[in-house]
Amino acid sequence: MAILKINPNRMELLKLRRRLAIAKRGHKLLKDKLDELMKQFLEQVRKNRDIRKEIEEKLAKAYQIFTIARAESSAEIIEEALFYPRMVTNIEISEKRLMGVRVPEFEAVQEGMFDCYGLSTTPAVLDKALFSLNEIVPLLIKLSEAEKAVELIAVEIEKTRRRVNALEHVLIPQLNETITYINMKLDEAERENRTRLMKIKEIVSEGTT
Amino acid sequence: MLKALRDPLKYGFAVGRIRVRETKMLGANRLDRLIGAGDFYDQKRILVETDYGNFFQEAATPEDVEQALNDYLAVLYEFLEEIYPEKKILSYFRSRYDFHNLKVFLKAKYGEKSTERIWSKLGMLDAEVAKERVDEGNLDEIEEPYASALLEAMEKFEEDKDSQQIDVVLDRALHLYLYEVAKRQKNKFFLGYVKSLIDLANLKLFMRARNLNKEARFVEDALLDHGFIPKGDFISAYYDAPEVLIGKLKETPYAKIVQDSVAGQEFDLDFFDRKADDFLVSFLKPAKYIAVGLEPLISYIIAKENEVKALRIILIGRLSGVSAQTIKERVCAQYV
Repeated sequence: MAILKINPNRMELLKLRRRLAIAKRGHKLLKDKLDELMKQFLEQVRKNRDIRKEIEEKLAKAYQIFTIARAESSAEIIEEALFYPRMVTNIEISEKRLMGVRVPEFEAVQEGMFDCYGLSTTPAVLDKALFSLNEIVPLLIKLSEAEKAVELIAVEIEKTRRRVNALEHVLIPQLNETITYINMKLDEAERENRTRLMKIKEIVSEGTT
Repeated sequence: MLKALRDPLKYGFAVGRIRVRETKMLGANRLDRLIGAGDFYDQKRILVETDYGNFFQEAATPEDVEQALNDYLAVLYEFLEEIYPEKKILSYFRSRYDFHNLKVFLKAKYGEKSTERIWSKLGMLDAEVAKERVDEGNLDEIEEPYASALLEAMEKFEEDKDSQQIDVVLDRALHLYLYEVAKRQKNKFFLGYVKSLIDLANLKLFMRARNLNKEARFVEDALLDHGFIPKGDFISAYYDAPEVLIGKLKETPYAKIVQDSVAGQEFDLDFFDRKADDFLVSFLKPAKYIAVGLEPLISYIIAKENEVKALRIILIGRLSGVSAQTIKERVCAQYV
């Protein structure tokens, strides 16, 4: 590991020791953050999986009912029935913070009814199909919210992990090595100085005798 | 002229042709074979034995099936025109496609959408011209009863911008037209059939509106005129328990169907739809024993339309992966 390019003096040593202490504290904090993010990530993934499973079950059921409605009357009748929908779904978006990650929150606000067709000429099973599909809309929005949260948390985990690794495997060892290097340099200088002083003392005492 | 003398002259040729064709209808046995067939290709092999065979040669997808059945219906209506060239009877069967097209054109106009693929070619009106007239708002050149129905639908839509009102107005106009055609024929059987059709449509509307928690005002507007059951009976029973309606229907043939469709405070509409179709088929069956008259003629065409509907359920259902059991439950009783 390469050491930092600095002058090996006491001033730098003090600075580096301070940096090392901060780096170690930062490393600990980031490591804690990473652990918590992982916990949140797994929780979101679990939530995501549950919603997806529920949606898949409900969608399969809704599609089957819709297929029956589709088979009971001609394609033109079903398409005409759904040609001009009356229901409007607005999605309100807000944000919440999860371990410093800004995660979006979606809320579906539905206005109007889903039946936009004549009730005497279309197959009755169409109501059931649309009712089932309509029930799935809020779940789909919840799923998109959970998937976006997972995606954003994953990005943050990646970023935090990179920072932890940089501190753990690059900065802290570099600081440690540089500190050791400066210590060695200072010790060396100390020894040189002492030898020089001893030599001077010897010369001075030889001169007086 | 006496009915006994008039009918053989007027309907003799047509009924003769129909009696031959009736023997070629699919019937319950063949439909059961189609439901039980392994896959769509097995179904096609069974259909080769019938007069549907030529229409399904190239079919492979639900869209192809749809196209083949529409082509078959077009040929059926041509046959009707050939054997009985009275325009009113033909328009009884084909006017529903015109009303369907008008709904599409109006919704396309107000929703600013393209109408490709969803308008039908089975109507009697020239669809391209009708679309142009609807787009321009020039209703003078559209014939009755379409023009006045369109005008009312447009006014209703302009009032509250509710697309469902277009369907409500045009469905009402369609059924009124069917009733008037039947009434003009002065045939009790035909008129009885149309009145039963209107009653069952009203019952379906009543039940669906209740299940969807719609207001009584909507039902009042949407109920069809000229059924056997007075509209007032439906409106007064709308907010009451289902038993109240059943009480009002006790003297009618629909009481049992409605009673069996009750599921708590709601109605099982799947069950009702099936039973309503079965009821109409059973209404037509006596026509098989009428030697000559309008009855066998209209019964045959309606029975063929039911057959096409059954085939659509069986073929599209199978292509879409619906189980044989579910398909069997959905196919209504047949005329032969």
